[in-house]
Amino acid sequence: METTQKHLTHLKHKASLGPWRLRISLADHKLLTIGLMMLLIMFSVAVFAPQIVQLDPYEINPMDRLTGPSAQYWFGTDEFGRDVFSRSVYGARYSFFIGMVVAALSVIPALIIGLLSAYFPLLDLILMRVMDGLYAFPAILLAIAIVAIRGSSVENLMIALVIVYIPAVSRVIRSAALSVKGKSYIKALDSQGASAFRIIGVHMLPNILPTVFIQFSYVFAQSIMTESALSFLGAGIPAPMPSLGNILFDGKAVIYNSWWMTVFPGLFIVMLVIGLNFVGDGLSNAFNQRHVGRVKRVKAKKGVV
Amino acid sequence: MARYVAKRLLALIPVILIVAVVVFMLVQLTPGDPASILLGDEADAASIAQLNAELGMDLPLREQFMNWFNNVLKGNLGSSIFFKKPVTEMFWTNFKPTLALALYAEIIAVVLALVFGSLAAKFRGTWLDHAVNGFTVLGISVPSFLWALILVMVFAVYFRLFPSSGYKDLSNGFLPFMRYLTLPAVALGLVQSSIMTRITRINMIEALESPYIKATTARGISSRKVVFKHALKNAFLPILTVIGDSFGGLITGAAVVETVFNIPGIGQLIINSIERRDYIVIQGSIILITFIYLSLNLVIDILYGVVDPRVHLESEAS
Amino acid sequence: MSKSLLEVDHLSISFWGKDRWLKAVKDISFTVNQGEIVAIVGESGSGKSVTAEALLGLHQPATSLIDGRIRFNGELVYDSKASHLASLRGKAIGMIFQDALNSLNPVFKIDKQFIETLRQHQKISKKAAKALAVEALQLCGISDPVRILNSYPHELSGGLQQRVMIALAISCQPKLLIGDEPTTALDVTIQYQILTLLKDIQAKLNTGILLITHDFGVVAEIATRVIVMYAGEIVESGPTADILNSPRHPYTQSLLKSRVPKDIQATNGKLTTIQGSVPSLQAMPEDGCRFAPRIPWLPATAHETSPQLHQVGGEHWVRCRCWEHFKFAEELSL
Repeated sequence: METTQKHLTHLKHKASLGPWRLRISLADHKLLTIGLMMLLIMFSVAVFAPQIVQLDPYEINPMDRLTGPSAQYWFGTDEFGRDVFSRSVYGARYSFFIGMVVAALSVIPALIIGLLSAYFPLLDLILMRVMDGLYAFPAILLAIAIVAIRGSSVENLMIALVIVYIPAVSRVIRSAALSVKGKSYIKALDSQGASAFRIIGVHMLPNILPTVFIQFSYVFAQSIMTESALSFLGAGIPAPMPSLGNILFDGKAVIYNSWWMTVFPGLFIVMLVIGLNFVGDGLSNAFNQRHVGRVKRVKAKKGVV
Repeated sequence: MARYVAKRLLALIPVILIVAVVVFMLVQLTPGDPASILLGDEADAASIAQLNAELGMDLPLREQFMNWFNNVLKGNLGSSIFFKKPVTEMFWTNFKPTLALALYAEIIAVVLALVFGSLAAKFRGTWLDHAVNGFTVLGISVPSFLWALILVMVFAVYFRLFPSSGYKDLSNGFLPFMRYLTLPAVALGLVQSSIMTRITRINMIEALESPYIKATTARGISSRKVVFKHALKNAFLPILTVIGDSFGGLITGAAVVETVFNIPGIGQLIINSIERRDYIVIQGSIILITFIYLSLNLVIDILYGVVDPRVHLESEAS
Repeated sequence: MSKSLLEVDHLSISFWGKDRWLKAVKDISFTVNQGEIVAIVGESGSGKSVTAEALLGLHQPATSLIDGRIRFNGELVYDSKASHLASLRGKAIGMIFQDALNSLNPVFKIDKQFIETLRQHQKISKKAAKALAVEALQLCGISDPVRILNSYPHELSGGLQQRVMIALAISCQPKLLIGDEPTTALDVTIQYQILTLLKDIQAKLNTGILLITHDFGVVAEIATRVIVMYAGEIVESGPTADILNSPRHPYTQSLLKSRVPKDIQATNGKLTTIQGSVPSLQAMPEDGCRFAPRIPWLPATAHETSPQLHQVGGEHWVRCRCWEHFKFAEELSL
């Protein structure tokens, strides 16, 4: 029996792993696992910062300024002679903490707003107009403006970010809720006289929970990026508190000679964000979300940073 | 078609109103009044009060807002407290570099996205697909200012191919103009490009699995045409949305990149104005940017109807 | 003896299913000659569409495995040069599909789709291509071709779409036309019109037609020869008259019996169905008569262990020996 060459040659390359269908199914769980692992590493760094760090992140050593990585200063020193490693670790700690709080404080109100708008058309009209108005704002500028008004501090930074993210997330939650609402069993419940609370709380809510979790991880990632951008611009975590963005800003001035001030904090940011994105994507695949396009619209909007 | 456009325009009105209110309130909440800042710490209360009265700061808030908004609608955004120049003039001067940067970044982003997204979809599961996926994840996860720094480190510091900062407008010639804008444009465009590539890929995969693609292949149309002419045109609609969304994001993202490369654009204008408490400029600039952003979305919506004839037929039927 | 257009020789088609190859089509062989209309009949899952698509290389190379030989006009369709397939598509072999709306690109007007196809295969001007398109549309019974050319696919009715698709397929004067359930999605009256059209085209252009269908009514209407497929294998084949008048294989007999009869009163209002269902791709048995599980009242000895095709008359072939002792369950008063 003569075998057709064309198809077999294609196969030879894939013989060990099998064609793409096999790969996709592995990849689904791979994403989530890798993401969680990366997150775990960064989480440990953030939480155990005081234990990991030996040198004081605020201590100035003018004699040792701008030295490269060494046994004493693992990530080198900055222009004030401060240890970049300890500053990066604490910076990661603050970023992690801020990101998590912002994500939580954004997602919960957004959840309420999204659900209520989806269910009550009158509320929808009002709330969504307001959200649209806020959404129309360029995110970074809004954040900068808010921080500029209220002053530079961690609390104000978080407030600014929360105000920026609630509109975006509430839109996504609203569409998810709307698609659940359109399902026939909701109409059936309604006609049976179930109360609004019951429908929303017991029936709609569990169905949009996957979306909520996915949005949480994306907002977490985005706020870390936005916070570092704001710190980079001087409108974020106030100096001399260490922040990944701050270090990068300081590093820019000396970029021609001191690469370590850019590479290491940058690496931390990337690890945090990739980890969170992987978790979000992994969850998205696991729950078979078709909203992938829509969710990414949030990112397309805010992926300004 | 006209009805479609009219509907879209109508929806804009409440949004613009809210934006105006928010911008106004935002600035009003700024502690410290412009007069104190202008006159400095040494000024006495009387001069401050007088300047404030001149600036109209003593009128009730509602009146201030109405005055301001009326002027905005007439096209008068006021004059900078600091420079005494009309806001509109200052804005447009600074807008040119930002626009150039954003356009350049957008072109890079779209070309890369369409090409690599389509190729990744066509060769799904191969090394090309995985490489594209890997790179786009990186692209999304690295903030644009970090990309900017990395690019500077590699191409400006190490390879010395491009300058690490500065801006030259067209009057100095096209080549220097491009040279100074390239690294910033790439830094800005990379993030958007990654998002666009992913969306392109997903939509192209769906398009390529459509029955009409099978039928088109069965008619003998070349593989290249099938992908780039047929599949792409069908998948283009959602991609267009992303392009539209992204352009607005680019204009504002330019703000951050501009700081890295010291480009005198809108970003710098707004950031500096915030430091100077030049609230008239802040208000005007934010309104203008938002207006540009909203118009862009409107244009994209209209383009929708052109690209996919099914869309406005549906809305006419409804 | 008319010229043989298509020769399929021991064709097997397998797909990759997560951890192993699943054989959708097992070792089938048939030919289509010039001037013939050959019908492949079977239920969903029989492998008939898979076969049709394989003829033009429409399967994803990464996930499919094609074994055996397919020859068109004496030349191998799948050879080391991928370009050969490309030269056949649309030009020597045309294909029409079940759902016309989904086979026409919704964002292009009809004329563009014709012009593109024609200019892909011959060097002609847009005007000349348009003229050829008009001809093809007229051949397919469309009275106002110019208006149709200027429309989008979704603006046309189902029957019109189908005619357009046929016109597109024959516009380059192919020698062989493959139809994958072209009338399944249409109303009965339109179905009849389309079948008449196909017969017409066959007569005028002397094309060979390979028709994939699950409906014996269609077969009776236009096919010269029939091939019956079940679970990836050919179970019976022969001239239409032979198959319709003296079907041998239990599957063929069951299919014919389960057609809704014109005189439903005679059957006391009962419809005959075949118990059980086609085995899924994953559960396909390797050896033995694949239809056996659906006629359990027949003893195992009635089936061959490795069922072959046997000639039972002229061009009439049947697989396995179970037909020799086959009777329907009702006839055995079970």
